[in-house]
Amino acid sequence: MKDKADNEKLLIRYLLGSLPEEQQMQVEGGFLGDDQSYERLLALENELFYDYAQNKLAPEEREQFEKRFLSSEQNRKRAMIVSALARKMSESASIETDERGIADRETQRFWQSLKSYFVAQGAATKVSLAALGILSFALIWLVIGVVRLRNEFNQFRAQRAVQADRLRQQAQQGRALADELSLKLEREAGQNAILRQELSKMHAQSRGQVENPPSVISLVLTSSIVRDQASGMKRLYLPQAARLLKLLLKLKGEVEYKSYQAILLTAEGAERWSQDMLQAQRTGSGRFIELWLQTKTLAPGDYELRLKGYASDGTLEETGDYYYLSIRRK
Amino acid sequence: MSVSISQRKGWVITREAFDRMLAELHPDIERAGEQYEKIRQKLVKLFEWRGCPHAEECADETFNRVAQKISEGTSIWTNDPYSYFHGVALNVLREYWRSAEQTAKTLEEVAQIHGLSVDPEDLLLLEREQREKERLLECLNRCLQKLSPESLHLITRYHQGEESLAKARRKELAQSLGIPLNALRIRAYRIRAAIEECVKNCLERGPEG
Repeated sequence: MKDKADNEKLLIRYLLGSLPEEQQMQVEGGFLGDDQSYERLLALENELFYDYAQNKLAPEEREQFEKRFLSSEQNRKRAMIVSALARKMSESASIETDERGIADRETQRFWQSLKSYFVAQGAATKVSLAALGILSFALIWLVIGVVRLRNEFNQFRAQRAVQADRLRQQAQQGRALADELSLKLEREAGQNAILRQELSKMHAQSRGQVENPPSVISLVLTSSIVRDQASGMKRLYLPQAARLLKLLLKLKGEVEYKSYQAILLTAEGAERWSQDMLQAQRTGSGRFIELWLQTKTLAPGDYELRLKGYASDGTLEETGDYYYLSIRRK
Repeated sequence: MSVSISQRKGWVITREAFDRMLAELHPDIERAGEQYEKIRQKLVKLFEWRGCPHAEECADETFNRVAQKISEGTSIWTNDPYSYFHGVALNVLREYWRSAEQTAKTLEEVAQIHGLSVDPEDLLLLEREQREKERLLECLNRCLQKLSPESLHLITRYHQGEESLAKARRKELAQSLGIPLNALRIRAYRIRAAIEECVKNCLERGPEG
């Protein structure tokens, strides 16, 4: 045992560079030929970083450590990581120590009360040795139980701390997501208001100019079974006067989502337009998603409309509904 | 000015020389490669522990010299390649220190003439370090969350409290886990090394990665 401790001291002196040359060579001969010795040295070196970070090294050792290990950029970075980790560990350890302190005090109090009981009953305890034996057995059993419970409790505390951290992070992520969504909603609401204004203007205009072609074009699109532009492509000739395009996407999928996201892609796959938080509308002929697009955003060409759905846990999933549209100008 | 290890004059390591060295390490090429990696890792640590800031360079120079000896037809080892590498490594180290001393003297002379002042870029460096510290904490939290509760509990208890009580506490911990103290040390080291590696990777690719 003493040999082991001496050997450990020797290895630490080697790492700190305070061994004479001959002994340094011995240590090196040992770890070069033996993987276990090498790993032991790595572990000791690692512990030195922690001892340094936690200020557990003697002043002389501290100086040797700095000279030996902190001269390289890589090791300085390592010392920084270790120092942060050591701080974290001591934070968790102080929580555990407080709890253990309480448990120890409880055990101590129990011992004291038991002792005072036996002092008071001095004569009787001498006589009833058998009873004492039973009591001792019960006491040992009780102490083992307390220790086991304490260990389980400590483990539970550590697990709970990690879970609490995870939950905190999830809550933060949730808040961030909610903020993002409300921002999106505000943006969408703004866009909708503009579109509504434009629509009402056009209604007003159309009331006065009945002979003019309609400013709003409506089109119902059904989803294609396969994700292939060749089949199911709907062709639309847009008159010059048309300013808004109302698309009704017929939903095919059985799954109902909380809300939907529609993305319009060009034939090259570039995103041209998208809208979030869309609600499905139920009519006699099925469920539909209503989209309003400004025609000026639609250059002649082929388009693909992709629909995604927000599941109840907020994740965005492909609905499997694809719509194809070919825009031409009259 | 950087300190360099003088390479053997007029000799450059070739593919053949390297392959011959590998063949000397082990007849099977895969095992020879593993052996090479293992010796190299150990040599790098040896140079680091000897206080050499260019440990990787020194380790490679050690291999170069061994490869040269082999290509010259010198029979270098029988059963124990380690002691041969050790001897060559110590030579490389001595040469390194001589070269480092020379460079230090030159720097002293320059400092006497010009009076080297603090680099103004140090301020920028300090700012960068501050940012790095913040990122470090973020990464550390992420890595600790990936750790199993048992591992977290083990390293927390391993490093808990006063140093004077550390031995008794660690012994108690080893007993509760049913392993010898030395195995506990290695286990704690592996957990810490894994966290450190995770933090290092996270810092390199950014916390979002």
